[in-house]
Amino acid sequence: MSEQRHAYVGQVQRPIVVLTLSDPTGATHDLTLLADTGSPYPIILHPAVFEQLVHTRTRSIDSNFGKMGSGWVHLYMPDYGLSEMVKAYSSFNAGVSLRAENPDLSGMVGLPVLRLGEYGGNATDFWFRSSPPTPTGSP
Amino acid sequence: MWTEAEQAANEAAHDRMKDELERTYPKKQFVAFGHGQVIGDSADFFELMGVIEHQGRNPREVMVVRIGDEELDGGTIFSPVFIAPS
Repeated sequence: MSEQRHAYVGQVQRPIVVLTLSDPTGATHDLTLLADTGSPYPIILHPAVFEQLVHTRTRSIDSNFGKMGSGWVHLYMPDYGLSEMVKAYSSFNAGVSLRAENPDLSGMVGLPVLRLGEYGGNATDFWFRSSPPTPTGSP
Repeated sequence: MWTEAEQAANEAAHDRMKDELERTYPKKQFVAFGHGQVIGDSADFFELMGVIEHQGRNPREVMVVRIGDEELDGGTIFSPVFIAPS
């Protein structure tokens, strides 16, 4: 089982995860993302990061941060059993807010991605780990 | 080169065809749009990328939807990082 565990970051103690995405050339990029378990958006990225990683577009959407471009990115973390196409949204306003909070943040990851594995937190850390294999067959 | 005009044409085509697409294709199928038309489909995303490239198109300029996906249009980002402290 693979697991990452990170101390909360920033003055107001935000949870983070580091996800690996592969760009259209196959190069991989480790992104530090704010973890928001209440967000229905899989991934929201700063536009500069989005443009580097997007494989194709999908439908854009409206939100309280205005219109967000959208596309498919490749979540590629074989150690975690993950190779998934995931929708990512591009928001300049959200990206700027995140970087004002912490310049290392490339975006935000929500529940649709976090639940591809297992996640949790305690007083000091937030963690993300691979799901245990689904049992097959009967005993 | 990706343009907002082509994206708008692809989204308009998707709006017009959404019910038909849901009837025609199985859930989870990836369907690609270019110049306001369906240009390919596959259950495998990277296979579809190959189809698009074979047509001489740049995948980054087309729009791909996945049948059965929930759309998050009009949603609100509640994350506290975006909420100014009172």
